Amino acid sequence: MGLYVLMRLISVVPVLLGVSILVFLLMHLAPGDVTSTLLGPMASPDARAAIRERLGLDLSLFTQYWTWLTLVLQGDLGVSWVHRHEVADLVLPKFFNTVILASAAALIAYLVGFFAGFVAASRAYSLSDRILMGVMLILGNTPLYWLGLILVFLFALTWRWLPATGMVSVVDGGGVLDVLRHLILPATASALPSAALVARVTRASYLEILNQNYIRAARSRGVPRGLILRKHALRNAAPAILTVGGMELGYLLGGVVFTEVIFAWPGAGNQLYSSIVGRDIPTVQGIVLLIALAFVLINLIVDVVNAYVDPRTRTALSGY
Amino acid sequence: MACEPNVDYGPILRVVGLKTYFHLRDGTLQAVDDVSFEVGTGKTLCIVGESGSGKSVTALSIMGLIDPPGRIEAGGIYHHGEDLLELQEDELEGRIRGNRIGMIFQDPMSSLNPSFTIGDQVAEGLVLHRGLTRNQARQETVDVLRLVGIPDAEARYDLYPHQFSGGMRQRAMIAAAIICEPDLLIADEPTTALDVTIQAQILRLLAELKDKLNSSLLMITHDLGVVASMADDVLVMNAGKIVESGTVEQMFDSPSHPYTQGLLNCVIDAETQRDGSFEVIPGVPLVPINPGRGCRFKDRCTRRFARCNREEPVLLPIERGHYAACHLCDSAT
Repeated sequence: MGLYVLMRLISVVPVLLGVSILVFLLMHLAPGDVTSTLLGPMASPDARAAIRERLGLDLSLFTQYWTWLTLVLQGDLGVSWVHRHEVADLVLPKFFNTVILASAAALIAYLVGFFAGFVAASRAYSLSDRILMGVMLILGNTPLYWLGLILVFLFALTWRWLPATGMVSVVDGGGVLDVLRHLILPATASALPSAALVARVTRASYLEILNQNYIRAARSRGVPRGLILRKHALRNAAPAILTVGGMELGYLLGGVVFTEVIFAWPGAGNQLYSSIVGRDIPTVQGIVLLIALAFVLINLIVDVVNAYVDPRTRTALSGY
Repeated sequence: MACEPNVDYGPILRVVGLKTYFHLRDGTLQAVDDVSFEVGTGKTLCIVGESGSGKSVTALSIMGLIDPPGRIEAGGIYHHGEDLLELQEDELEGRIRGNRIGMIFQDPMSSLNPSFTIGDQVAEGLVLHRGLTRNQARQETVDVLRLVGIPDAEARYDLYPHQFSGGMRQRAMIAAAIICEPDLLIADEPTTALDVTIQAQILRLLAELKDKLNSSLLMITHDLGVVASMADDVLVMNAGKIVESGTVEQMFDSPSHPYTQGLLNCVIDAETQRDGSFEVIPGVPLVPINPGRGCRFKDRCTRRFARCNREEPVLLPIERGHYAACHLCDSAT
């Protein structure tokens, strides 16, 4: 198992390299540069050139990327062009906030999605199955920026139950409960598309497993239906559900940009958005690298767990 | 329980007018249509027929394992005189399945759950029906694994299905089916998926276990060699109907229905058929979706006549205990 994990870890490197090259090129391809952010639209060409030279923007793309890469390999993400802070110091606390939001959203998505899929599968093709999956389909495909605004409108503005923005209250803020209160709306909004997907995958893999011969054999031994669902089928349906769960957590880490902007959550997504707009390439690179790393690691963990859950791969891998 | 040999205790299972239909988009598939038979106590009944003749659906109907779009439309399934069709699902689970009636399936490769150990699955009956814990059930389960001929059973208890060969898996399936000592064992083509050399071993094991447990055996097969070596009584099915029934001697000595005769002619004889002149029943089996009037075998029958198109034949006695559903056997014609 150790060797398998090591091989998978090594394969992370080319993925991250590719992602960083792609993002670097995209940032340079887009029109405009950081000088407008720093100096404003009316700055003189000379002042712009001076800034460009100081940041190394006058060098070739290859040299720029190579300089960044050699620093990253030494553990240095560089300095933000806009904020004049170490990118790591700027980004890591915000990334932590994103992890809180994404984890909460993932938790909601798993609970709602698994429960909905489980109930739908156990009553497959019935009216309740159709209604449940229909509701999930509609909620899951509603655009987040619309759904988020509706949630803010209803819960924050009309009924005033929950705060609309931020992570802590400005007056007497702080504390776990306060963060939780602020977490409910953005987490719910980001969770819904993932919940719909988890529900669909849960239902589909359950239905596939329930058609297997060994389920019929278990029923012929007198195993009650509830136990079939909770034990016999669950163990075999789990890998597909875990895989999509991991993908969704990774997706949420990178995908809560909209939610963070709408709900003014002080996370990496919000920062990523303003850094892209400001053409702050080192910050963008740093955030994307973190998100990509998290995405790949989460999927690695899911694969290892899956390999362990299935006795066939477990015995096959125990030799490594 | 001491049983006097050759004393007839009456049938352990009596199926009366069973109709199991599948409601499909194209129409209603009459998979089992008005089927009646008995399994005598301590006897082996073989149901013979081609794929799609309704023999497996008959077995699943007895177990109460027909899922939508299938439905048991009519009939009675009497086990010790109790109609299983009147029972609620939880009564079937708690009292009948795996406890009084055990079932062995066709494909041992896919009939064991890959995520649980062999021991876990074989012991399940003891845990569910006798209320034992896994630990309490372990010794008894190991004994049963040994009984079905699994060597080194103590160690193999903790192995997973993928670590077993096909023959060993079928032995484990048999162990799981008999662990509560059911009085009726249903085996649905238990040897079809196995190597020829293993087939004979499994059949011998089934015959031995049936005697040891004092149980009856309902065996589904398309292999007439299996029928000849195992059966007391035989039921031949075609397109959801019984076409002939009788003792194994009656069936092999004086087959009366053209379909039974055809099946017997299809048996490949290595001595006489070296030239490759195999007999076949022409055509393909009728799929009984809205089957229409007349005999369901008429399109494949070489001896059909006008009445076969008009009228569906019913099972009529030919001699004592021997029935056939064919107008040719009807003395009135």
